[in-house]
Amino acid sequence: MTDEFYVGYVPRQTAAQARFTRTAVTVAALLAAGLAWTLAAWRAPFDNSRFEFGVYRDYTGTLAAHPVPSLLAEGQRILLVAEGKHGANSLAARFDQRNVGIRGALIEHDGIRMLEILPSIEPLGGPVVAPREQDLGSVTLTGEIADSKCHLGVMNPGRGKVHRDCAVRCLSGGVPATFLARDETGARRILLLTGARPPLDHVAEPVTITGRLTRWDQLTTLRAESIEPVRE
Amino acid sequence: MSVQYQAITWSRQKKVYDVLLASGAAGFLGLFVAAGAVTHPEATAETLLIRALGTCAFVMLHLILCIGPLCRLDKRFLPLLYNRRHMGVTMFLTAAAHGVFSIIQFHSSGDENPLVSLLSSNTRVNSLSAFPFQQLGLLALLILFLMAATSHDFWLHTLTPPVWKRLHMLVYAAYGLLVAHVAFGALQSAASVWPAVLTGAGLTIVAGLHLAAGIHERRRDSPLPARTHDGFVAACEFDAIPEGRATVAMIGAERVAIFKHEGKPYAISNVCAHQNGPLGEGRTIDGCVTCPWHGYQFRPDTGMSPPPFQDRVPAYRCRVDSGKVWVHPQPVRHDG
Repeated sequence: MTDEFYVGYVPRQTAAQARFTRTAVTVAALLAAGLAWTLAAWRAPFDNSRFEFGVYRDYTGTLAAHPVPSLLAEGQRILLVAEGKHGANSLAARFDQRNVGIRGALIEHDGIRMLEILPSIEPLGGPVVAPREQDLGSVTLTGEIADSKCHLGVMNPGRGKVHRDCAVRCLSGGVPATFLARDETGARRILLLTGARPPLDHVAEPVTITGRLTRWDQLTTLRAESIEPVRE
Repeated sequence: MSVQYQAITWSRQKKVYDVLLASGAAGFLGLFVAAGAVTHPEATAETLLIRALGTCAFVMLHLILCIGPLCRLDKRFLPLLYNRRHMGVTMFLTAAAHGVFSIIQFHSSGDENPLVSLLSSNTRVNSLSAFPFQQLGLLALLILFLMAATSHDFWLHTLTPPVWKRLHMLVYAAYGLLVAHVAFGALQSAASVWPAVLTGAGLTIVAGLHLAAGIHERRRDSPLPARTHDGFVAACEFDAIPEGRATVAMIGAERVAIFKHEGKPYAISNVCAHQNGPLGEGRTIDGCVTCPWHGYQFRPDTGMSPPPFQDRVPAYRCRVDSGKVWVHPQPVRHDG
């Protein structure tokens, strides 16, 4: 065994020490690179959603404040939310059942569309189109409560435990809640929760909701009559 | 003895260390974001950045915790330890960026102050599945901030080495909090079991290396049974000490490094006055015991640093009798 002794303030390491240091640093770098790639790739699957951040377009149509703020434009009912973690309830209430011009950034998930709207809404004339409402009956489903804005695309993933606190903030700020459930066929359903705000303590956790399903044009809402946490 | 004094500021090895450190951290972040964008093109950029920063800081913390025991097991790892404080500060800055971006992402632009939201959005401490993990990360970040803020030698001297060392031992508390932060956060949302396996492997490696280093240190200690004569304690066989090196022995409650220098025995504390480095694993250079961690030097006879430095470690009287080194457990008093 050599009697080499490393002192950091000496300008250069000995040749043998330098070789060992290079090997150690190379191994550490390769391990770190492997970890970086693996841990990035191993994450939970992301949803097929999008948010056109900063891209604002003009939309015209009939605004409805209930059951959740929405705009019937281009034959499709588009949900409306405000900027940040805020709903558009107060803004929409001033233009309920009126034709308006709106600027907003598109959020989209599995065909459900939402606009993050700017506060300037322009009232327009013309015939008002009332929402088509269809009662689909009572259901009991198990799933997870999230906020619609993040889940539909502002964040991805916009559900699950890591996103929980953000969902709490959004729901507290008036963003409509969504219920992510699977129906009796196992198909994934994104339902808009209406009625009273859901209990924030059970956001992003498995809950069973019993309520009434309603179809509003292309949107399906669930008016919750009871929300029960699924026991751990 | 001829001594030349030169201020040590940013030595060549420190520069090389810092360049490798900065490029390594930047490379990790870049690779993580690129891998995330390639394998999950639908993921948002801010999500990838937050995850990259958190993962990078956590991996760096593992490396920092492994360097110490690795150096005890094999001296050739010492170059990794020399500038470890810069790695600690880099790790804190990376973790802080992860925390700040997370607070902006998850708690800002809402109906509550972001910091109040961070502390109040989840209070489900009685639930394993809903346990609030972000607060654990915040607590760890506060500890890491304290350590980074006091990492300079100014604070080491101001707080005194024992207090400074105790403060910096909190890194283990921070590590425990961060393991819990990851376990109750990212791992609960992971789609695969492998991230949990990797986290467990990291914990096992850190704990295993510390255990191995402890066992190694005990084995290197002098095996002589405790015998006293005339107030002196038998410490080790004199011939077993290589010239310029030391054997470590427990004398009372203290670990004492017994050096052989120019054929004579000298006993000083095994604990360096700088950062509690193991002096007994050092050697004599230019007539001074030199710490393997950062090169601090002490005279073997008095425990004093060579002038103009004023650091000091306890020195002990010792003598050779019947081939054994006998050490008096009371440190020698040096006034002035």
